[in-house]
This record gives sequence, structure tokens and C-alpha cells, in this order.
Amino acid sequence: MKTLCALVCIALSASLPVRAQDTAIPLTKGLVYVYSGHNDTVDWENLITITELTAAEVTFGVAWYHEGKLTGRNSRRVRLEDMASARRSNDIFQVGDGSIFPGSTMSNISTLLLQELKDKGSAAVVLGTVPAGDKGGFGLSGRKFYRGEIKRVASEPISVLVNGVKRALPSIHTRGVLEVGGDQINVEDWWFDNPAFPLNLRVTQTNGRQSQIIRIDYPDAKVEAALKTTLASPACRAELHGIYFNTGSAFLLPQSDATVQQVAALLKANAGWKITVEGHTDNIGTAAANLDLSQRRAEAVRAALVSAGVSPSQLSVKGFGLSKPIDSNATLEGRARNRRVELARACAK
Amino acid sequence: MRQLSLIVLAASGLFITACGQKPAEPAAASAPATKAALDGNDPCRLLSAAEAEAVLAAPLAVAPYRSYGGIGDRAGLPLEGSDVCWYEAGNRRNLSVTLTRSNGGSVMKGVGQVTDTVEKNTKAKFQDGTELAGEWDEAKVMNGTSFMALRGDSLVEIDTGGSEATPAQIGSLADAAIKRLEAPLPYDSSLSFKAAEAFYAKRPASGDPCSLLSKADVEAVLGGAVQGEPQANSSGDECIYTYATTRNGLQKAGDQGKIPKGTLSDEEMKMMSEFMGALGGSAAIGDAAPGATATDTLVLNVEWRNGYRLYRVSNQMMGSMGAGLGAEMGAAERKALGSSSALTGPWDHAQLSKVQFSSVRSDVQINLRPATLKPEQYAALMTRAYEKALK
Repeated sequence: MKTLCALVCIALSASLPVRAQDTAIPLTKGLVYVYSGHNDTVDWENLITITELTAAEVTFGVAWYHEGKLTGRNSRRVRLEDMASARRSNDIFQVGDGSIFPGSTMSNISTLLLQELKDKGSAAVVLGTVPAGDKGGFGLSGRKFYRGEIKRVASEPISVLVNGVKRALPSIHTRGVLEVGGDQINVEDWWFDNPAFPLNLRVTQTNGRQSQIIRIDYPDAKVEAALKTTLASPACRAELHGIYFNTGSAFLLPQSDATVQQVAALLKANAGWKITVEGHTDNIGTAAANLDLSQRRAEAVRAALVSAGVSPSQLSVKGFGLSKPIDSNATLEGRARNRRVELARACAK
Repeated sequence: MRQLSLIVLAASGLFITACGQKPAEPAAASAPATKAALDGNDPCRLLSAAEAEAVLAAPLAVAPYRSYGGIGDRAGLPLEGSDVCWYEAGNRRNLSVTLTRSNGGSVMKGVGQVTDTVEKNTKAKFQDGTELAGEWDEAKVMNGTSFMALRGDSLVEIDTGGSEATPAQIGSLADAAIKRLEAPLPYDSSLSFKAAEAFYAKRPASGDPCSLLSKADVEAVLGGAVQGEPQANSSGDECIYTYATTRNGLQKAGDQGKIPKGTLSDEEMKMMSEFMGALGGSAAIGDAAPGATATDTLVLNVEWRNGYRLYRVSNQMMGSMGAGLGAEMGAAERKALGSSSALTGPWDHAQLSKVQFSSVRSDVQINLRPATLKPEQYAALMTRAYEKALK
């Protein structure tokens, strides 16, 4: 976990108050969540995006990064009836897979199982995963489906950055021993107590798999409204959430699309605003390199906004590098907050 | 086409029997004491005769028995201890059930990897997931005829290539079989083994492909004299007749088996060449030889056993090649390939594409090239060939 959140470079914190009691997250198109984990010597992150949501199905786009480098992309469809009531989950991808596994969810349990955990304290589950030693699915053994019961051991909050705000998401902590053909696996999970989308916030398995969600971004009218309010206020400044770059790169990842579209809509509706897109970094690396990176990232965001229809004359860019931290650079979380993009509106102060 | 078929069959058919694994002991060992003598790994205990008959639309000729798997001319040959169970009706329509009790996930993964490579190279589609939900944890459909269903780490494959089963019917069979993994039917397939051997022995024996059409048969239908004796190829599944022709497509000696000039358009030939090239083969047009005698070649290809499955799989392959689809050849693909199945003759099924004429009857498949003969000529030739093959 040495580079926890290594990929998630830009940050994160919109100037919104923490609303601990308001933790429901909808199943909605454009939602992005990021798993971070560590296998053997490799740090990895998975960026998962809801790319389509119909009356019958949800489609997840998955991008895998190892040590900050894109190693693969895929997608999977899940039926909404399975999101509601399936007992099986399967988030392993293999070459030659079909696009859908009817009867299975992907990285969440169904609403039915969440309710059973809350009501009865246990649930019968089927887990598609790879056995110990399979190197995260790259080995020969292939996917196996383990069966058994998971039991609630506690209700615990899990800290996740949600739309840029650090939130303590309520979770149901479960443990279980699952089995297939004499092969057992101990699983420990923290399920997001969110009936609309009970995500697996954190998982530990005896096959060596450990991961947790570190960040969730989703289109939220309240956040958009807050962005408008903040920019319109005398502060004339707001941080952006939902912007994703490759590590050390100014390549804007497609997971940023929802945020870009939201901001573009706001700026087009306020065509009189003159906005400076500001890039900021943490203090890892030289000041010169960070200054250059922050400038290029600001330019990338500006280019994306222009592509989304914002007038080029409305936007300028400036990179500040590591010169304006808003948090401590001594911690992972602090550095994550310092890596950010801000919008500054030209206004009299 | 022969080489192409074999490659695709091999790629799509990393079938469980090919792994040569002796099935492991079942995870569940809770069978009632009265059934203790039954083999827990007997694949014939997963599907009843009645369930197979419902899909084959005919009664089984012999009770379900263990056999060689669904690929190659030993398919259906009784084999004690096999992980394949064979269900065959009197009309030779058949299906098989293969059980891999453990390491099924590994087999599933291997099949996916190999087939994915072939698909990427050929731009065709031979495998697909399935939209069907069932008692399985995951499922894959190969060539539109083989349903692979994994539950836990046990794999059940229902191969209906020798039948006319629909995907939904295959899914129902797989569902029934999967449900019995932990509670198999009280059935002992060893009791039907001798009857199965007797039944299998009635199949047409493999023989000389040149025995199916005599020189006189060919001359009578094509009107030109066959030059020399018909020549069987080295693998013994093809017979080549060189005959005088008035057709505008002369071929040099040594060009037998190649696609005659004028058969395909440039675009079609390009598609065929790319497809064959991706599979490591070639598709060459026979060249005209300056001053050559006006001769052409007729190539007869015969598969004495497992013809229904071969016919259906090659049909699917041609459909995929024509349209990049996983479906069997439909109207759109037939049009793209200039194929027709509206043929009348002494066969159960036949297809005429721009590549070859293909037919099957009583599980014997006979193909003819070139594809430029008249429909009535194919019918006349096949009448003679099937008379001899099935006598």
C-alpha cells in the first residue's frame, strides 16, 4: 500500500460540509469508484465506472492500473434483478469471458443479501474468485465459485472520499469460511450499508486478496449547485472533485467525463464568468517538475472543458506546483488533498 | 476447408476429454448406502434418457453409455470409465454430456484463452457467454452447439452438435445436469456398455473415400471423361477426380483442391485468404496453365462418423466467417457467402456456398468441391455416394 491513492492524483475536496448522516449513494450513470490494493510487491488500483444504466441492466467499465500504469480494460453487464436479489458475486475477469454473468453481481452484494445481514445477521453467498497462489487471476487455476455463509460481526464506518469529502460510510462487517471442492477460503468484508448499491468497501481474503475503496465520485446535483454557489460567492473559488489523471501524467482519464460535463454545463450557463483553471500538486518530486505537471494538468482540464462546449475565451490556466498546499504533505491523505484542480473566477474582492 | 475446419475444431474444442484427466472424487460423498456401488463420476447420472430424447425428438437406440468425446471419428465409441456420456437415437442424432468434477474453472479459462486468440486472429466469433441464467455459476457457449456450465469448480459440458437443439434447449439440459452434481441419478451406465458396443458396430465403417463415387459415376453426371484413376489423399478422407470440362477455369496439375479461378470475387478471395492465413493455412486459386488440357478436378471429402456435429460446427464457422457472428449461418450470412440451403437431394441437410457443397445424412458428412456444379449434379452424385456409404 506504499502508494495508496497513487493514481488518484488530483484532488478531491470540494468545499462542502461533511454530512455524516447523508451517506446514501445512488446507483447512477457516471459513478466512479476506486479500489486500491496490494498483491505481493505490486500496488494496484481499479477504476470502475458505471457507463450505462438502463431499466434492465447496469454496465460497469473497469480499468486496471499496476504501479500507476494501465494494464487492462474491460466491461461487464449486470442485470438489475441480480443487483436486487442475487446470492452470487463475481468480480474476476478472464480472457474469453462473456459480457454478462446472469445470476451474479460484480463488486457488491445484492440488496436482498444486505437486508438479510441486517435482519438475520447472516447470509448464504456464492463468491467467484481465484484460489490462493493464482496471482490475482493471472494463474492457471481459473475462477472458482466458493459457497458458504457470511456472518455479521459488527457495524463499522469506513472512511472514503466521496465527491471529494472524506466520509465515514456505514458498513456491515462480515466474516465467513467459504468452500469449493475441499478448498476453503476465509473472507472478511465490509459492505456499504447502502441498499441502492451495497458496495464491497473493503475485503480481505486468505487467498491474499486485500483491497478497499478509497474514493467514490458520482454526479450529484447538490455538488453541482454547491460548486455554482461557491464560485458565485465572494470567495470566487472552488475545488473540483471527480478529476482523474494517470500518475505523474497530464492524461485526463475518461472517468473524469461526468465531472467535466457538469462543470461545462455550469460554465456555459454562466458565460460571463472568466475562469482560471488552477493545477496544484503535492511535494513529491522537484518543484520545477511539479510546476510543469500542474500546468499541464490545468491545460488538460481546460481542453476537456472546451471540447465539452465551453468558450475558450472563458478559460485560462495556471500551474502552481507545490507552492499552495491546503493540507500536510507529511501524510498520504494530506498529499492526496494537495493534488487538486481548482477553479478561480475573476471577481472583485 | 479441411485444414481450416480442423484448426477451428481444435481451438474451439479444448474439450474436457482432451485433457485426459481422470476425474477426482466428488466433493459430496453423501450418496445413500443403497447407491454406494454407483460411480459418483459417471456422467450418465447427470441427464436422464428421457431428457435427452426430448431434445433429440426420438427415442434412444441404446441406454446412455460412457464413450469417447464429441470430436473426431471416435465420438460415441464406447469407453469404460470415460467422463463423457453418449446419448444417441436410432437415426444417429446424438448429444453428449462431459463431466469434469474438479479443476473445471481451469478448463473454462483455457478454452476461453485459446478461442479468444483464434477469434482475434480471424475476426470471427466462436464463443460467447450466455444470457441464460441457471443453476450454473458461469456458462459459455462454443460454436453455438456446446454449452459449458461451471458450478463451484465442476464443469458440465452439453454438446448438442449432433442434434438440432436450440440454445434454450441446451440451457435446460445443462440446468438439469448441474442440479444433479451433488445428487446424481441412480443410474449405472456400465450395464448398457455391451449394447452400446453392438449399436456402435452398426455404424458405417471408415473406408476408401474413392469407393463412394466410381469413375463411371462422375463421368455420368459431369459428362467428361475422368482422367486416370481417382486419387485418395494421404489422410484418407478425400478423393480427387480429374475430368475433362468445358468450364472456363482450367487448372494446372498440382492445383487440385484449390479454389477454381472465377469461383470467388476479388473481395471474397481476400476475405478467405485473410481468414485462412490467420489460421496458418492458405486459400489459393488454381491457376490456368498456358495450353493446358481442359480439365478440372472434383474433390470429395467424407467424414464417416460424427457428421452431424461436423456439419453443424462448420456451418457455424462459415456463418462466423461471413458475418463475424456467433450464430449459425442465417439468411444474412448465407447471402454474404452466396450460400443456399434450399437444396433438394438425398441428404438430411445441405449447404451450397461459394466454397463448397456440404451435406450430411445419418451422421455421415460428404462435401464436394468445386461449388460450381448445378444443384441437380450434386443431387445425382450424392445419391450414389450415400447409397454406398450407408449400405
